[in-house]
Amino acid sequence: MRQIEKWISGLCLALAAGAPAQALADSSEDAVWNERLRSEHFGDRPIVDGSDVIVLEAPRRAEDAAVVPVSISAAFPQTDERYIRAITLLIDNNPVPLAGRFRFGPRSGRADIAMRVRVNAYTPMRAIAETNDGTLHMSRTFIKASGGCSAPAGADLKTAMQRLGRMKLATRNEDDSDGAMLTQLRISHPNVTGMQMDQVTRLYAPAHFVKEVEVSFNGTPVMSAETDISISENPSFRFYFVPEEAGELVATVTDSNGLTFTHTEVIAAKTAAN
Amino acid sequence: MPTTRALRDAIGGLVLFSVQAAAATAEVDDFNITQVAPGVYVHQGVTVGFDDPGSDDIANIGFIVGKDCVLVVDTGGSYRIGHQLLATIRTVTSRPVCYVVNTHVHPDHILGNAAFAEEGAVVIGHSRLPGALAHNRAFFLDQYSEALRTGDGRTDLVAPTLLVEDRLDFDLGDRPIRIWAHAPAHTDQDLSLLDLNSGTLWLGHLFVERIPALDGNLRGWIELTETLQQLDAARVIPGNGPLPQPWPSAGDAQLRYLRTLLGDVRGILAVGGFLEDALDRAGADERNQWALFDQHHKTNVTRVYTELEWE
Ligand SMILES: [Zn+2]
Repeated sequence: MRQIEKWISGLCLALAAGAPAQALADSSEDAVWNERLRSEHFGDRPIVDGSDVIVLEAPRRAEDAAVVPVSISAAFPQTDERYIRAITLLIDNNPVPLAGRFRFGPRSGRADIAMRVRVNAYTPMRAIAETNDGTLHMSRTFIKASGGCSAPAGADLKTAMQRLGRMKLATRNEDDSDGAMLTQLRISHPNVTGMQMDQVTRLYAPAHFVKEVEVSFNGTPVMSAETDISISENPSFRFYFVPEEAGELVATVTDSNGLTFTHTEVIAAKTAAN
Repeated sequence: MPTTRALRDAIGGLVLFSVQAAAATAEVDDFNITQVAPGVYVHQGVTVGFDDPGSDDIANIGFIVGKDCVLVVDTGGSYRIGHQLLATIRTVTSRPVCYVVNTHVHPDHILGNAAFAEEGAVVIGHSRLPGALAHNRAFFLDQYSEALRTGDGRTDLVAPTLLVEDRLDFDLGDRPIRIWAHAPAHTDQDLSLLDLNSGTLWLGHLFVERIPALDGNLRGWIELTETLQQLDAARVIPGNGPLPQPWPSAGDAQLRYLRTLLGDVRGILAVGGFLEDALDRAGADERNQWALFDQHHKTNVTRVYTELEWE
């Protein structure tokens, strides 16, 4: 009943409007980050405003808390001189705030990454980029959604398990992408959170989710990710890579039960149009 | 899908009821109750969003009076609405309310149950409804505590005890009633009800004015709407919006919307389109056809995209 969970939004909005001062509301919004997340993930390293490095985009209010589209775009192309090494996506008020840590190389073309996440409560969401000079840059947004982690699985689990680990890799040339090719990796996996109740047995299905994703082109890493239960059922990731010659794009996925799946897509030489 | 087959069998064998539409006179009181057919009374809810004031009165709810018993179909979004319905019943008849039917779990249809449980009514629901209620119980008690508060100050979420797996036939006293439990469509616990005397078909999951909200299965909902359209009902009571509605034509708008979503999203997936492409384009032409389009359309598209992505 995912739909129901978002009906509370109006009530929560009313409460927020009654808060005494905006500054106070902001500081409490970021409490989890300030008190815990920041030091857990980045120690005492300085983090600067990231608006000239990355932009994090998510709907202000989720249409479906179990499937919230999130995109992170880099402000500059990946080059040997300057590139984004890693992006960490945190959803502060989720049961496991670390949604994913994504690594890129100069070969990625652009350090853009998009995915669909679960959002369990009204929460700040933040992307922290580490550039090749070792500095950290943050882009933050706030999202209104709730119940995404306990929302029942969409299809029945049995059907989902039958196609467990199947993958699709689709690529698309974009005119403005400096030769980088937009790629979507879809993984058929229920990504069970451990908080979803089977409505018939009334038992909680044990957590079972995608933990690692590695994509390489002709053996050179393009994008790799460590992920957790905040990623929606049937994980879907969108990113770029530069196919300078024809070759094989290979995706390898490992889940929390130690199962490994691979998928290969043959990529033709770069088209002249780009 | 055994449910659909049972329904088709039922359509085939259904003796045509004498249509008494001419005899139905509309009468309206302060609770906006209309007698849509002899002994069939419906309260029309308001078309506001789920977050808006008055959102406990969104659903069309009502009752059917037999010689021995009264049956209530859906109880509204609060104890207050349920109690108003009960008070209205008492202006019409003193017969006992023996049954309450919950068409599905959405709170605008069930939160008034306690008003009738107090009267000793048996609550009837889909066999999957108790599970859906259990799953949402903490959430309902937390978010709807005021709506659930009874006359004597308790908060009570009443679950069904008479469960329908497939079909249920019973009698209110010279008034046979038939209930079908469906495969996932609007939700995964949808019931439909037919009053055989008047040919009134009660569809909690039919939307005629406000945008349909998908919380079950798109392909199942299309198939169910098509199957129900073969049923020779004199009129239907939609879950929301003006009533009564002519049948089968009242199902056309919902069917068009659902088929448009199916076609558009399949087309977008076929060319490798992303969720964002579907959110931009799927069903965009439907915008002016529905009240509250912006509240549910994108959620529907997201559900459809994820439902079809691995079909
Ligand atoms: Zn509903």
